[in-house]
Parts: sequence; C-alpha cells; structure tokens
Amino acid sequence: MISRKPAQILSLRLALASIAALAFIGMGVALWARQAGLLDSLDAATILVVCSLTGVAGLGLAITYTPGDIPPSPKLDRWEKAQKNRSLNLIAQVCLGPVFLSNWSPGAVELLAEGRVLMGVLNVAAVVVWVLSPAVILMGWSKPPREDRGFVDDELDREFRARALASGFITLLVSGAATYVASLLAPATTPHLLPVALWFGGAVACAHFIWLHHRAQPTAEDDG
Amino acid sequence: MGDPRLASRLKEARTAAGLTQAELAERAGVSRKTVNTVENGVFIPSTILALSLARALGVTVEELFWLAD
Repeated sequence: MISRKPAQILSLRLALASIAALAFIGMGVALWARQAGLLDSLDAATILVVCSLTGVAGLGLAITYTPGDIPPSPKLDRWEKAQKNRSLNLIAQVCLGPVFLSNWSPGAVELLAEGRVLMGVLNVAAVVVWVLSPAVILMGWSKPPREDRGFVDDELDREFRARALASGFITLLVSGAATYVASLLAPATTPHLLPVALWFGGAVACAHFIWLHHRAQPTAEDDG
Repeated sequence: MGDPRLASRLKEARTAAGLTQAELAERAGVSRKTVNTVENGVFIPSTILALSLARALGVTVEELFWLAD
C-alpha cells in the first residue's frame, strides 16, 4: 500500500471540495439559465439533479475521506473540535453560496421590478445575510461558550484570521474591479455579479483560514 | 509567520518537564495548536505568550527563545 503524506491527503480533499463547489456553481448557473429562458424545465431539472448529487458526494467525500495509511492524529480536544466545527460550517457556507445567490439575487431584481417590494426586500436581505455570514463565523462574532473563547480565539487564531482577511480583501478588490468593468459593458448584470463578487472575497478568506488551521494541526509525532 | 532569526528549545523544555503539548497549552492558557506551531517555528509568539510558556515550564524566557546568529 502506498503511504500518503497528510499534505497529499489534504490536496485530494481540496480537489474533491473544488469539484463539489463547481457542481454547486453549476446548479446556480442552471437556475439562472432556466430563469433567463435559456433552458427548458426538463434540462434544468436534469442538470440540477446531476449537479446536486455530484456536489453532495464531493463535499461528503472531502469531509469524510480518510484512507487507512495516513499516520494517526492525536485525539482532538474540545477546542480543536470547536475549530473543526467552525471550519465545516465555513465550508458549507462557501460551497452553498453560489446556489442560493444565483436564485435570490435575480429573484430580488425581478420582484422589485414587478413592484413586489416585500418579497423583493426579503430576497435582498437573504443575499446580504448569506454574503455576510462567512464573515460572522470567521471573525468569531458568533460567540462560542465563554469557557472556550480563550482557546478558539487565541493568539494563533487571530494571526490566522488576519492573514485570511488579507487574502479576502485582495480578492474582494480584484472581484470588485472585475464587476465594475462588467457593469460598464453590461449594466444590467451588475445586481447579479456584485453578490457573487462579494461572496468570492469571503470564500477566499474562509478557505485560507481553514487551510492555515489544518496545516497547523498537531500530529502524533509532534507530541513526543 | 515564522522567522529564521528566532531559535527555540520549547519542545526540549516541554519534554524535560514531562508535559504533552495539550498539558503545556492548558497551563499557558492557549490551544494545543498554538504550542505546536511555536515549537515547529511556524508561529512567533508574542511577548505575553512567551512569558506564559516560560512560566508554565518554570524557566526564563531566555532559556526558551533566543536570537539565532
């Protein structure tokens, strides 16, 4: 049996998570195409089913895949479990973002154009909440129990958060600039592209944060 | 995050004290991951963290960290 290093295992997991993310993005594209009249109902439904199954399978494998030849890791303590739960929450927020944004964002535009203000505002609120929720989790604003705070939000966590936020900020600048250019070429696409640009900045920050924590995870050899 | 100018014997001091990373982390009031990254030179501790680690091990900060020339 070929022995795989933890870094290779992580690369495989990231690849699976990327496939899942692409599948969820495909769902969003299919929903948008259906609403734009580019796809009929049957084709859109088929794409949605295939993409959702692929996405769920990819995400599930990315989370649970543990081949038998990896070195054993120390049992996670309660704070590491809290950190792992936070990472899984961030992964879910990031991967499902494109699906919901591609439905709520066009929906908000259409509803407000039709004068259905209440439903339009609810869609807008849903978009804003979904874009901001990774930031809430990443910043630790969703407060863990008091006895855990000193450990889940310690010096290392703050350092990782700062680095992740820097990555997200730069990504946000780039995606915002791209949205600006696209808005000049096709102004009608701005309400659809802007939530995606915002989501992308948050997604990069979250992914970087998760990566840093995973790379810093102690192995059994470290505790000698 | 790491800096090659910082040398450390934190792991040696911890094992000499008969502590695991988790035990040292609990004494110093930080996560095990923090202790691990400091030991591996990936993360440079702040002054407060360095003092906390030294106090948890019953040694001085200079016995744990020094400038590598």
